[in-house]
Amino acid sequence: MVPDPREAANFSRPEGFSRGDFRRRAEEFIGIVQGLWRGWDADALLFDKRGGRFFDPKKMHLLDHKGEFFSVRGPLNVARSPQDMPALVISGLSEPNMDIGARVADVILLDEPSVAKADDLKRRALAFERSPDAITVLMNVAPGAEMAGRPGVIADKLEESFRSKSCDGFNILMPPVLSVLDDFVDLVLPELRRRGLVRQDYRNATLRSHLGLAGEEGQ
Amino acid sequence: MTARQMKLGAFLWATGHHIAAWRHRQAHATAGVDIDHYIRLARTAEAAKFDMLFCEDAAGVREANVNIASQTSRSIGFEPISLLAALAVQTSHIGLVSTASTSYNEPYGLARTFLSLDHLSGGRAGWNLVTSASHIEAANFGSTGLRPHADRYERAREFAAVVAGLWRGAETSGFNHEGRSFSVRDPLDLPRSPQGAPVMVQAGASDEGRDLAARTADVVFTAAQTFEEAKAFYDDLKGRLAAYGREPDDIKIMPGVAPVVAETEAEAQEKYEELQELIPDDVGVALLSSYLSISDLWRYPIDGPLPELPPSEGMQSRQALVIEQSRRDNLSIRQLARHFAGARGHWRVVGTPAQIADELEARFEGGAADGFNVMPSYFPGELDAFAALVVPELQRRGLFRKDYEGTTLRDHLGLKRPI
Ligand SMILES: Cc1cc2nc3c(=O)[nH]c(=O)nc-3n(C[C@H](O)[C@H](O)[C@H](O)COP(=O)(O)O)c2cc1C
Repeated sequence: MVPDPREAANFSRPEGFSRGDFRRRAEEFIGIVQGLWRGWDADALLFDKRGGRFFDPKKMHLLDHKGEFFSVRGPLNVARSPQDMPALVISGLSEPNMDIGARVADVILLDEPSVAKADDLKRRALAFERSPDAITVLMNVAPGAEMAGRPGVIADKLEESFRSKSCDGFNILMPPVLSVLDDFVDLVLPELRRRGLVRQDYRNATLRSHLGLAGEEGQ
Repeated sequence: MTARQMKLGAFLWATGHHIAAWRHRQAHATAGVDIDHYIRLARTAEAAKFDMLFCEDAAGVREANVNIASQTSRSIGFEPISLLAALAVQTSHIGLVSTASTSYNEPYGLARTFLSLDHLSGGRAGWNLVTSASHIEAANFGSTGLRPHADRYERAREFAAVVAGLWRGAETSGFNHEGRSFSVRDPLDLPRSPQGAPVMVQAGASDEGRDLAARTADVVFTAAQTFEEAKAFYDDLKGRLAAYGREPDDIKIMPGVAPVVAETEAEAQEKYEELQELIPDDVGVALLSSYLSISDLWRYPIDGPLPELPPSEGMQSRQALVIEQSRRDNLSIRQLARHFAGARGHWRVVGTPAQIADELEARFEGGAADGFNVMPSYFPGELDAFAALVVPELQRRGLFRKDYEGTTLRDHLGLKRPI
């Protein structure tokens, strides 16, 4: 959520965005996206061949958004998500954007372990009438080269951050090197499993279910 | 050198191209939410050696009236580029062509998406350029409404040039564009396409559409009812190429064809009637209205003739085609609605495998087509039938390949690699 002038220049905006515009635009943008994801109720599709009713018109909703930057009637021409809505992940949140994250994100990625930051996010979520559990805070960690020798050390570090409640889990920054992924899967994960810190198996087939996010069953 | 052979596209559209397809007892009604359905179709088309899978697109629902829309299956489905990316890993040879709009995208993003699809499929991607003629889509991209036809094409010309430049410049360091609608500063962060560049397809048949095709397209998708219309379009478009320093063979013209095939003529006819019976009148009239770009066709007596119409800001080519047919065959609104609803304005052939092969051969050998975009009336049944019955007949006649000549979409289509 930080404007990069190089990217803007490839999208017919050589002048870029001002910071304020960028933030308000991002906020409006996210609201529209999540609104469009709710355009069809989960039980809207009837597939009633005999009655000639493919969907129930009452279960399709126009968005009718008219805002500062966008005007979008909707609905989307894609059915409701199998997991209710795709998960919204936000990373690189600067201080002024923390509120946006707390209001709309399902997952927030942080670069450093910080109990204070994780607490702060959950408090802000409460202020927006969201359950603190509605946000999953993940910490970016690079597995490093020492895995093979000392998988227990890495497991200790992860366990410590996790137990101190500075995050709900980790986003492992895998370099595009197969052996690093293999070492993590073969050495570190079994250790974390032995400690009961990582699932033995998927409970369900959606991302929301893996992350323990709301939206799966009850809407 | 083998004799010239026809190119075939398998035009996928969720439940089928017939407007009432989804109601057919053998149609897979849940197609729009079922990736396994599409994998099955892709494998069928690849086993039959089709040149490409072809997907349409719209950045919005197709019908504004929700009561009409709710009686058709066209309001939901997969976004085609992500769909084709999924199909790319389930197939090995067949081309993957998706429609995308020049009015609601930026060239850098679109060039990158298609080049990426091209790399992950080993050189099988194509982009069908459209300018988007629907007010419904326009309302999802701002409050100013559908832009006039000429403006859309002006933007499309610049858009196509930027995309082609990005694809060509993918390996070099210098790409830079400053134009009226777009500016781009960097080359794409991807290597050059395995086939030189993704294939450029175009649909849009007005004078401006044809001119843009002559300038930039490798393949043209078009709608033509009669041999004469198809031939006139073919000759006109090929005739425009010289002005851009191109050879007639540099463009493959592939009109849509909506076949209904069965072992006997009577069975085929019966199958067609069964589908036609499933079209509700209000759905047929609404679809016809959209081709004519008018909103109040329902005000006119359904058994009377078409009213006089103002020129369209939407699809000029399609409007002209409908009006022409109504005059030629003296059809009422209901008759026209049924006729066009069935094949959505495309050429319909109903018959035995030999009859259908005869019809295709006549247009192919008669210089009215280089191949066809096959639009099965319902899925999976009619694609299966075409693959099992018509393809072997075409192969027997030497009109269609028995195996792929190469691995990229350009190989299949016999297109030059761009320099
Ligand atoms: C055969 C054919 C197929 C088309 N398919 C699409 C499509 O899938 N999506 C879309 O937005 N427009 C589609 N178009 C519309 C054209 O791209 C263009 O926006 C519109 O037809 C206006 O161009 P024209 O007047 O030159 O035909 C199609 C047009 C033709 C002739």
